[in-house]
Amino acid sequence: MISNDDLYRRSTQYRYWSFTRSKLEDLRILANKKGIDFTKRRLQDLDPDLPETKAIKEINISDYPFVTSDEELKIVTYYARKCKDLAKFFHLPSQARATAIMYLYKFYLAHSVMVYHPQYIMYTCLFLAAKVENSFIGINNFSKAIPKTTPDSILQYEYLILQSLRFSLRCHHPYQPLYGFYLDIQELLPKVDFKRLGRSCDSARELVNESLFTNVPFLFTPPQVALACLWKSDAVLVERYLAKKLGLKRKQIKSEMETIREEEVKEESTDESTVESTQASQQQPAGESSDHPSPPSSPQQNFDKLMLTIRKCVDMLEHNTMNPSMEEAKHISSKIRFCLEPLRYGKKLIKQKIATAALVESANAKRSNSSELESEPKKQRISG
Amino acid sequence: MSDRYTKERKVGEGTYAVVYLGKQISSGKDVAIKEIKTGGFKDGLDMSAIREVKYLQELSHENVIELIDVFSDSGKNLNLVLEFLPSDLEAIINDKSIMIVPADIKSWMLMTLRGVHHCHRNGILHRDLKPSNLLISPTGQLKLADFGLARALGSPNEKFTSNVVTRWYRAPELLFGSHHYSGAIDVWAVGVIFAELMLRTPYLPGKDDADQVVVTFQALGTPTEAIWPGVSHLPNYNNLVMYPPPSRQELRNRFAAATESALDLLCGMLTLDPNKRWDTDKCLTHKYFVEQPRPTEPLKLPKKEKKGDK
Repeated sequence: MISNDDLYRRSTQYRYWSFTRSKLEDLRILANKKGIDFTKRRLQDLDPDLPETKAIKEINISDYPFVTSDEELKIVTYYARKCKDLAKFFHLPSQARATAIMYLYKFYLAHSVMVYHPQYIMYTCLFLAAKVENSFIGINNFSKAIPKTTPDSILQYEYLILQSLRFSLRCHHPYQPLYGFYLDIQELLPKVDFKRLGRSCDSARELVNESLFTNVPFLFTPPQVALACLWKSDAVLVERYLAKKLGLKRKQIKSEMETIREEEVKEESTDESTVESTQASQQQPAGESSDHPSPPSSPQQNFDKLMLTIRKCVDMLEHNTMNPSMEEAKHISSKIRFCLEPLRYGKKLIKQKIATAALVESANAKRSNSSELESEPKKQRISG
Repeated sequence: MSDRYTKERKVGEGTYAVVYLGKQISSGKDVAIKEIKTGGFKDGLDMSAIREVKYLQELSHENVIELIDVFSDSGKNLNLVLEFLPSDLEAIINDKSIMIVPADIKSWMLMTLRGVHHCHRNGILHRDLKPSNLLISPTGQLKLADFGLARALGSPNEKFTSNVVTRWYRAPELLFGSHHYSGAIDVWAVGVIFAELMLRTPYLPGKDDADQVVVTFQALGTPTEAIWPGVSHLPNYNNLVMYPPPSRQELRNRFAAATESALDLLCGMLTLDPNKRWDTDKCLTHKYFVEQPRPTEPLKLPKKEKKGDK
């Protein structure tokens, strides 16, 4: 019998886009390194006779304003949030919105912002995602609504994005599993207050929206994220539901939860392998992998294992959600511009040199002014 | 041109693609290369091509066409490299020199339903099942192809277009313009194909959309609130001639060679109310597939080369 877990393991989302934490980090570091190398080649190719090039050659290459790996993730997240706003503007459904955001993050696992500016890639990701998710927007209307774009400026990246996505376009998001849990909870816990359940699911949905701006979609399955978000908004409800679902007696839950919390703290730093092993499981909450037959586990063990996964996911949601400020984005954006157009940086260096020189001169002038009155000709030479 | 494949000759041309017969250089294997026309679609990559890539990437099954690779010519044209399937079920049905026995029909039905079942359990609707989209491999395996209209089963409040499926294979809920439908529309199409295999002629050949309604309900009866609760609220449920449902004897007369369980399966797939129509699980576990005769082994099934493909 093929379970939903087995089917999920065959999806491209699992095969191509699910990672351990360290693997994900490696990919981003590699993309960043590629961006730095690309920029260095760009610097070498500058016309050596230009004063800007000379100014750049004078500084130590390690002082060049390359974008760091952390900054890359920040600026991509900044535009991922912009993408969300733009999707709302076009009244796109959450599925299309989430897909666009995931396309953007996936694109920058293979590329650096120092090669492709995320602003333009974001537009094309949104256009493509709308098309893929059956919410097609005509390119003319799309481009008309966004300042400083043309149909061509958006379409030109479509194939590149497709290629970077390894032609895997289907995305599974936590929205549908969340709805599934909503129905299943009503079925299993018929006495639960309907309003409370509705409220909990609504706030869980908000948390799912936010989860897109973390690493969670690359590290956990959509049903795991859905459960984690639901647990964060109503822990008691989720624990009662899971206990019932897994055939656990209610009394046992509380004491167990305490031990889990303790264990979890201990495990925090060495969880690479656990992330891997829990990655595909629990497409359905009770789902046990049929690929790797293990001795039948007790309801208690299943419950503990699942709670551990939920706790890890929640922990990541609480600590890794990024919302870079406009100032941060501006700062990184200017660095990107210097990498994309090094001559601009050369110009900046020249200006700085002049300004510093002027500063030194005026300081000198002040000093000499106090003794003699001969600074006039020097000042003229500098400004001339 | 990719250095991994050769394009040898054109074997077909559709609205959005030209299909070539080619070879995978590394293996010498025959492949079909679907070159997506660009330029014709001002909004970037063609929607049907995108759907085809999206869904075929997720489906790996004996009874679904394999997407081997995707590449681009000079970074512009999108090319889908598909497994080469030289024949299709329509060509077999139409070639009156071919003898089809009940065991052959059972074998094709089994392979079709397995393919559809795999799509549905992955949350994918094909939405264009018909004999010409059921391709046949050199070893006789039947495979679902052309996912240009496919889509994912969405959230419950999402609206779907009812303008899908080639007319003769269109389920009644689509004829009534329903925006919320399910895998049941694919099962209906398989039912119509089942009937066509037995009759050797299209079962519900409507001349236009209005005629399709007449032809469908003449054959299977006009649905009423009594047999399909809620049907009268569907957008196009109006000005209908009320035909009575066919009696069992009428069906026996029409499908003279069908066994009782074959008729049961047919009726299960052609149930008017989509909520009561059988799903692929129910179809595949039906006794029709276990009773005699056993389904013909794929290798021994009748074959037919495509027109102009000798």
